[in-house]
Amino acid sequence: MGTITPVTTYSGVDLVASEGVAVGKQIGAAGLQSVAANSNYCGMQYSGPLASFSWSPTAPGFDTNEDMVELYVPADIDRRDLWLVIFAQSKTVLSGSTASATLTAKVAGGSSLNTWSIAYEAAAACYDCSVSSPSASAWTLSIQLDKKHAQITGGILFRKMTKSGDTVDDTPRASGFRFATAAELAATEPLTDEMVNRLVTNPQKLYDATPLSHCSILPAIRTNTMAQNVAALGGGSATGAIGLSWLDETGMHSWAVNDFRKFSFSGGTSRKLDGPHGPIGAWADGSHREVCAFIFAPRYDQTVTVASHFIAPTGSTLRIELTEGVKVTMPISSTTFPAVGAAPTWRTATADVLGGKIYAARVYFDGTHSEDWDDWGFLLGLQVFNG
Amino acid sequence: MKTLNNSIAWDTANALEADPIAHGSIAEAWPIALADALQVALVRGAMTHYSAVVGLDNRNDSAKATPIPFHVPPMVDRIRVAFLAAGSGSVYFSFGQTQETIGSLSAPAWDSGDVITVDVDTLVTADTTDEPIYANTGSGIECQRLHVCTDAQLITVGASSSTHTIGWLLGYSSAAVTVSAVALLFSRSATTLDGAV
Repeated sequence: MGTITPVTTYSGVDLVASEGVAVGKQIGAAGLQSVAANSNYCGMQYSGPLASFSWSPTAPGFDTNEDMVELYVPADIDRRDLWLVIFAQSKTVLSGSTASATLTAKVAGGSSLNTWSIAYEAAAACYDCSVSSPSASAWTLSIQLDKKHAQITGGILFRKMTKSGDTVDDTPRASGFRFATAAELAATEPLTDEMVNRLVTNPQKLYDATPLSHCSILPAIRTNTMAQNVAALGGGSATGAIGLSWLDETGMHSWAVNDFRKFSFSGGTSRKLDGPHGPIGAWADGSHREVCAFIFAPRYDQTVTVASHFIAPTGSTLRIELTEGVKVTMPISSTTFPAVGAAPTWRTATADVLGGKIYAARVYFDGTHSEDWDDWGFLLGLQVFNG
Repeated sequence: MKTLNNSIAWDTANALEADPIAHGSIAEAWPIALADALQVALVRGAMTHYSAVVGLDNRNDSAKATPIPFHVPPMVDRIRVAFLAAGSGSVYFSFGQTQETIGSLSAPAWDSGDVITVDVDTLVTADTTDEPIYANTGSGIECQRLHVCTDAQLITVGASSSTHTIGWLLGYSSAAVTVSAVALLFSRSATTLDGAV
């Protein structure tokens, strides 16, 4: 085992023009060392987003601990560290506790990753933490709040990159990726195919082992209070009048029931889609409305993995139209919301999508239509990854 | 003569210990695609984007713009903003302020000097019903703008243990416009594979 100090910049050396790799010409050591350095750079830097959410303008907690959002974290066989950033604030409330709120990030169904205290009426700020050596298998990251005055605006989860100047060993990662050793590519050294293999196969190993997010649809959940709020407002009927919301208590936008009406029912006053929940199936007039749409822009033809957390009555399905002619049908995760802190059941499927265009992907709930809120579907998470 | 193993499987069994680095057969076996492969890996990562279903409230008020956090993949220097909207009016986007240390990052502030204004009149038809109306039917979205981020608009965070870049997109719309989804599309300004953005 040796130690490597990865370079901090990507070198754009043209191997053909300056280093003579064309047939009949000799290979210069410097060119190979550039490739090695670039390979190491990829291993250190190749990263990207895993999940993101942004709520307009905020999603407030409640005076009991609630799951605010649950993020599907795809498997990473190399168990590279993650970084979580949450943007939150506290506002004046007319009722409820004014004690400091606790913001929690945890493994759903598992241990806490970090907690932060948000003082009453605290200004907007970032709350972040590193997630070390996460599970090699797919898992769920849950973000919780326990006070009504605290509000989350958004957040991102991404894979942590190796720090510039860090030394790393060149033993293969679990994925097979292996840092190159430039010293062994010096002009005075024999060239081994083992070393060549590192450079040839590293990109594919890295790409295969690094799922990255194409899109995230992650509405606020608030498991306990969502259904209660719907029932209180509509009296069990989704066609009931818009009633009292948290707006009055938090001074902020109510994201729950009013949002249901905004995109689900005629006669409302808005088409806002920040909560993809609503009736299942086609309406009596035969129309079948999407519950949400999102922008999807795969750069290349490729296979993607779709992960969904969909709560709906038995027999319902979730249909996602990703690109032209590419539809993915997902079964429900459950007929009921998971308990606070519990790991949800994610459904996953793969699809081959077409690249090169920007699509307005659409999401539909299929099944028997009913306006009774008991029969609604709730899309609590939809994420698409490469690979 | 042993051949190079160009398969996915890791091979340590066929070391060409005796072959010099300038061996001619190596040159023949070494495709220029190797260098491209590295760039493919990077560019694919760089082109990965994410979208969030958000509602940019029709406040017509920059002071209450919705902040959308995003992580910038490595080697990215261009960001496109695409969104789905309905109604008639304008949508405003800006990239938020910078702060070196994430622990003390304050609320993103609107930068009026860097506003992307898009008139959505041409993107949606007159919408007199309560149906969601989107800008296209899947063949392409016109509702996008290229923005080249400057260092001053992005944030390098986690310097003590890792380095990465995040930023804030701020957005709001005029009173008659509802934005339902926003996506950030990342790219590089110039590569041998795909210089177009």
